[in-house]
Amino acid sequence: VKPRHWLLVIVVVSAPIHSWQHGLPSSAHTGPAKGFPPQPSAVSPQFVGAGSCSASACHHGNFVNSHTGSEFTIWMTRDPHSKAYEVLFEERSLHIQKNLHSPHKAHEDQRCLKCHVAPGLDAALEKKAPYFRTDGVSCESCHGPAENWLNVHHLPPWRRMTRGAKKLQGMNDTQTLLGRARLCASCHVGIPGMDVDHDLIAAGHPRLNFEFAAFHAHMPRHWPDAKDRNPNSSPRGRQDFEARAWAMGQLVSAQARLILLADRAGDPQKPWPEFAEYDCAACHHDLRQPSARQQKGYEKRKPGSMPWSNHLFLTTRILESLHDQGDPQLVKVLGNILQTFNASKSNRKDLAKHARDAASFLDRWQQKLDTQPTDQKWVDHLFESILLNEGPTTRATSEEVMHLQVSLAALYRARIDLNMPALPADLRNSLFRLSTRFDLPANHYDSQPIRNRMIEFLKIATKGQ
Amino acid sequence: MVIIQRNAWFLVLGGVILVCAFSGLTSSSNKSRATGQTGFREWYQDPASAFSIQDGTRPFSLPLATCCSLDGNPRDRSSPIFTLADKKKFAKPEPHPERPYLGFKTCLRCHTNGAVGQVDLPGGGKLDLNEEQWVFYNEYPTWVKEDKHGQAYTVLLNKRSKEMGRQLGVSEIHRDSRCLACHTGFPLNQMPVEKDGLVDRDLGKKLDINVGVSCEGCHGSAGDYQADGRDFVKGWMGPHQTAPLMPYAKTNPWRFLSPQAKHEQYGFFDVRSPSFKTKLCVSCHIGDVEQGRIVTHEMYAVGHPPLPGFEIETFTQQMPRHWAEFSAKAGSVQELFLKYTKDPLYREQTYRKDNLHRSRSLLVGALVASGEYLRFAGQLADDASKSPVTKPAWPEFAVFDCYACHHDLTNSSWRQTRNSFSRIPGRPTLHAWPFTLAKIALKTLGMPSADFDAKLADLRQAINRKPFGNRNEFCQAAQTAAAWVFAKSLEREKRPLKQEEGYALLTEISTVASTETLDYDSARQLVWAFRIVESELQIKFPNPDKIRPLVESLSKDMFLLNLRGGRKAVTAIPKETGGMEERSTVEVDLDIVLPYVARYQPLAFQKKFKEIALLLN
Repeated sequence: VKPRHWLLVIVVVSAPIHSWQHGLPSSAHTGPAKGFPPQPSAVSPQFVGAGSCSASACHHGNFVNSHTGSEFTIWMTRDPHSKAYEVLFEERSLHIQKNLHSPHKAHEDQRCLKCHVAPGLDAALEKKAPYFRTDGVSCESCHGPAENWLNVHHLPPWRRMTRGAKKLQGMNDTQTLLGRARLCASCHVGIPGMDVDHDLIAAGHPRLNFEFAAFHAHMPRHWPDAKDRNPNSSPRGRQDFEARAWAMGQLVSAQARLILLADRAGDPQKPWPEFAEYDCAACHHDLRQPSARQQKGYEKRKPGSMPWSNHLFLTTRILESLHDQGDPQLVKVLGNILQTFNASKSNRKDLAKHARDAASFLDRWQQKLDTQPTDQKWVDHLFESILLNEGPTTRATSEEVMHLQVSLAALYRARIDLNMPALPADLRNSLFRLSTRFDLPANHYDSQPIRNRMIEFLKIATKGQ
Repeated sequence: MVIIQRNAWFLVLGGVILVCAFSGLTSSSNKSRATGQTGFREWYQDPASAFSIQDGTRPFSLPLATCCSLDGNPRDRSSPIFTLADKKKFAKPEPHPERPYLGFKTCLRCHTNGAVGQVDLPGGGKLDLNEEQWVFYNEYPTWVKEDKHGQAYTVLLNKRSKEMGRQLGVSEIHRDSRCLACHTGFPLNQMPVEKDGLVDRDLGKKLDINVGVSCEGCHGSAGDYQADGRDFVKGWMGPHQTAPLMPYAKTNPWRFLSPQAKHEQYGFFDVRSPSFKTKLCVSCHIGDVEQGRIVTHEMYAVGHPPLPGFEIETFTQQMPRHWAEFSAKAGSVQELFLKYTKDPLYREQTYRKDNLHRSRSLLVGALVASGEYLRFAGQLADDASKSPVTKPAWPEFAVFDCYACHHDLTNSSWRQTRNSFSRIPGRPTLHAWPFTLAKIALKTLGMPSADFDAKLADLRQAINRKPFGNRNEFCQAAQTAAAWVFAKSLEREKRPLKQEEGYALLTEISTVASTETLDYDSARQLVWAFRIVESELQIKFPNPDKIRPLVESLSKDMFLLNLRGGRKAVTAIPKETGGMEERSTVEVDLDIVLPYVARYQPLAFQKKFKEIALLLN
């Protein structure tokens, strides 16, 4: 069993994609950066539909396992993204719209289509080509609208173009981890305008629960995997790909979360407090006696207050692994965010500012990771620093525990890829126990078993240190 | 002269006092005057010292320091808690800010041994308990042995409370005025409160405090009070003893006064009136900002048991009865009372024995509870509304429906597949239970439930505006709706409920229960109500033998209420004389109760009531 198979249990089936453009808010201090969230400009190229890619001589070959020439086939037959539009007709989707008192049907609601088809597919464009919807999250949803490059992208001159030049023609960067992670995170974490907020979750939408490396690993490959992992096969190949994918996923997801937080807190029209920012299981648990929460205590926050679901606590470890000092500025701002959340009256304006600051700091680190070579030592260092330093987080929210678990699983996988020495048997077994799946009573989500396993795992890993 | 040692107090609690000869009281002397430090023994030796009554009609005076055994002054006498205008609109069971709390010991003299023998009355005269059949005269032992109100203070020293205190950062939680506001009958406004809201260290050792919610907690503070240059405030202790002196006379004896006069002139709470009684109970069982009775979400989070949805008749039924219902009193007593009383609810012309009194009370109580809940919520949101304790910051989660958030997450949740959401999903919402029976009560007044919904429209709009609602709109709308519901409760109270209406009520309850998707607390309200109405109904209705077991089976499904059946525990509390005494308490068995809420399935409940509805028609 692959260490991360458990994720399938909670994988959100909604499979959205769009082009998170290269320009993240580098000038976040001055408000939302231009080009972010991605808006199709007046001159933006148009979608041509997956049908334009699926000529049998191009991407619709007869193979479902190998890639070249069969990309469309693989996507159509095996990739859940191709079902993204269909799910809008399911009973669950009908209920969601009903609960939200929405005048639209899910498959006609722009709010849904932005992730379930493509972010650029706005109403005006839709009138031109409504049938693109039925493709779900298809070729252009990730690779970018093909109007300008459809006819040239197989020609040698195109291949010699830089990623930036291609971007100008509408083709997204799906080669670098940074490019990929941003594409995925824009739907799977969310960005302003594509926000799975608590209203939507309560109406019935599955909550988003994203870890880039694990989701990436589960995608049916319609691209040559060796190019990612084997340095001999491509200049971009990295043997520690899995660890890099995890780290990049962390940095990008963290940034997306911060941008989303800045938007949720900063826009007075948006509901606040936005419950999706908080740990689900903090409120959503049957009342019990004895109560594990009461026994655990509330540490620095007021008993009964809502704890922020801090998904960023591993980010700083990654930064430290890339640079001795890490990013003290970011650590400080993250501290401010936590403090503002824990204050009896959280000031949403302050939160929005802190979140924008923090998001802007991450730009530079994402670029750094994208270009900086890494090695076995780096993986080992990350693994250890997480084990040794994040033990106390088992006392924090259940989501932090899950987060920790999924990260260790990714790093474990990277160790195997790198032929690093095997982990001691008890540690490995404990990690597997963590990773298999939640053993929950039918349908019920309960963080306690996973928390217990985490504690057991950390005890073994740190030998009781 | 019977001498009882201070440390014999525990025997009292154990019920042994029942056999202690009270005859000692009748020959008590005036040797030792009670002082500010009056203890149990002093009082016991010389009960008359607690009084200086001259005769039945003249007001008697009693310095505060003597009667309530307190050092220091009561707090903030200058600002009355309620204004006269408020009182006129809807009488409220609040302790008078100045009328002192005499303590339960004053009541023991007559209300202990049952209707046996004679007792001396202060200021002369004797009361023949044999002749006087209005009350049992054994109220005290009934209360002290079985009534959980008597444990209200003791539990502040148990393990759960200590743990709560630790997490709240309050080392002596039993001194915290936020707790004492409900956990003792002694009025908060008469306790000297130090900084941090803690009361004097030794206060809790006084019996009057640590016997919990005792006589005057529910019947009203009974003492007189006069400050220099201010109006004399008369308590009911003296006047209520005049009735026996002049039994059944027309010359303004206590018993035949109107309840309003008893309350306004003497501070005696009208526990015969369903609306007044419910207000009194829910001031703790739901909350009351003005009296500092607020269970916050913070308190729940550190372990305060969740307050269950309240229903006046069912909760009353679970109390050990230290009173007889009017209809259960002796015939001659009833007759005389009906003839002379000024209580509008009991005038001969309006009162009919076969009316459904408890069912009416249930409906009135439902409206009052709903109004009090709205008022409580509105006042918590309202900065202008003051409280003697630190008001929690808004939004105070405790106002909202606990189980709207607190449920395990499941696939295909019944909450999401409910047919109608009258609100935005994912937002904290108000409790549903205070409105479930209230709607039915309004229907018995000829008001369709849609009208009530319309009355709550502003409130709903305010809540839907943003998470936890738009604060200003919310507190306005809640308090407006509350006032409206209160008016309706008084209307409901004045109108008797006839037997035929009882059957219609059963049908209505089962219709609501079988057609609406109800949460646990609302569903439980309906079962409670059904049982009360059914038990009082004397006319025939279809299939009673099939219906009763069905209703009873619901108690297995959803745990109805068992206030006195919890596990027994022992808690040590400090005595005034030093040392500790052990008191037995009944635990709140949350480990048993809470899983019922989690297991509750509205569709199964609906199905059962569909059967009942079919059988009823």
